[in-house]
Amino acid sequence: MIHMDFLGAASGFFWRIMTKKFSSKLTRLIFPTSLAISMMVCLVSAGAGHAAKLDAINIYGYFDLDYRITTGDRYSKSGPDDPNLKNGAFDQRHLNILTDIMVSPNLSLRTHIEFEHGIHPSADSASVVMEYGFGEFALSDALKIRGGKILSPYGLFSEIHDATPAYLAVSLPETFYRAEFKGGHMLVPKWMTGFAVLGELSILSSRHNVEYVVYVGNGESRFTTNESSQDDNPNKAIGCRVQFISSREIFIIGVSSYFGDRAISTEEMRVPHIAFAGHASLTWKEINLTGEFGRSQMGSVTENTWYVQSSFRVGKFTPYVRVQVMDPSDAEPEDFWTVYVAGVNLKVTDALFVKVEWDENARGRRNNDIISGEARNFGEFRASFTLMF
Amino acid sequence: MVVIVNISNPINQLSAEELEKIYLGKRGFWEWGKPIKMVDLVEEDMNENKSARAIFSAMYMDKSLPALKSYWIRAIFSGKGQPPLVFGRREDVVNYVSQNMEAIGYVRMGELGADNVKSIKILMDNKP
Repeated sequence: MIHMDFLGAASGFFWRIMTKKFSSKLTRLIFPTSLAISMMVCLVSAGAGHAAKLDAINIYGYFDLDYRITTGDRYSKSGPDDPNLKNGAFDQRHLNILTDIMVSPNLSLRTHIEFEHGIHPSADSASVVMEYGFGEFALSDALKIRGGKILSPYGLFSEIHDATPAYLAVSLPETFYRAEFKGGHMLVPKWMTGFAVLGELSILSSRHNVEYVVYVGNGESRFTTNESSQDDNPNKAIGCRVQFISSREIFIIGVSSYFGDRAISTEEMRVPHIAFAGHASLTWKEINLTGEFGRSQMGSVTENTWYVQSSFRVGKFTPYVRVQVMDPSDAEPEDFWTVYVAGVNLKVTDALFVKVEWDENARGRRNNDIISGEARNFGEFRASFTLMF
Repeated sequence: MVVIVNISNPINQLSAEELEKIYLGKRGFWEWGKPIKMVDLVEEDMNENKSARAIFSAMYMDKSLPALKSYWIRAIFSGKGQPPLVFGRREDVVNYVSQNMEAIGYVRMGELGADNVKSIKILMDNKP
């Protein structure tokens, strides 16, 4: 078992360097390199290269048709992804296809391809994105290694991201998961290309689990996240998430962190980007209460955000309410963005969901997304038809 | 409900917690190293809410069918794992388990009708 021996040596080496100062240049080089070599050896020794059988390939996906209408005039600086819609608009929001290929008993390849906003060559906001594409080698439940493009683990829902069948509301809490469209900056880069070590450990008489993930990736480049290609960052980004999951998932509580840096000007002046988050979810029978808070420091700007959501399933209907609050900069007064959400999720069949909700937005007059003369407060009706396969 | 594994599987009993973790994808490997292949039974000629899966889910996972399905939707779309294979007939479950050493399934009480399959004991003592 070549990979077992190699991983033992690699993990010992990794532990030794982790106990020294992590900031040394040599360490920064060795950490991702040793992980990369480990992954490659795992792939080779696991028999990668054999064609997967047809019954080892699973294909999933979803399709959304959305409708939004906004009260009053609202002009967004955020661009076509968050437009003014006072006359209402339909949006063929997602046509996403996921594949899960078991290459061998221990090795899988998972991909998620997104066609967003009705792809057309002339459309401004449409895009084709690989949401994730990674290989995963599972040594055991407690130790798995992923390599590729992943959704950065941060909070409860970052790895679900745009997968609308997997959450109740029309969108995830945007002040937390899309802060860059609410006058703030991304709490953490949404995507990361690199390696992750993850697993689940049973604790307390095997009744409960602790789930962990540690990752290293490209981090951010000058203008945006540099999630999917070459990156010559001197410091790679490092992040982790640990969560306690009680028996039967009644209670989940966890923390996440991210350490990286980002060039914010053409002069390549780099600023540190450090983020922390905490999350908790309580499910009792058909009632769920979920909350998260996040704090992200980009250079001298510190952003804070939190939300709480409550839901109660009654047959096919699940009504929900949510309050989400963001302060894009704690040094700047009156720049908040608060959203009150009330809606209902109707599960028509196992494969069809209908969601309707009202979002009441309240913004501070100095929120970065507001254009002079624009209404600070506005309401928005949102509806979504989601097909899952 | 009877939990069954392949006759070659050295496991003869599981705790209720272990069974729950297997069927929620939180335990993916047998102690002897191979990945677990779990199988669900939803009888095709029966209301799903009264199917073997509904009873099994309530009994060992304390989850209603909608809650169980939501759980697996989240797992699938976050790249965390695969739900069990679903068969519509008892014979198909037994056949699959008889042909796969790594498989585990469940059927209602009765003759198993296959040589390569054995039932295992589920220990309920530690269940909360």
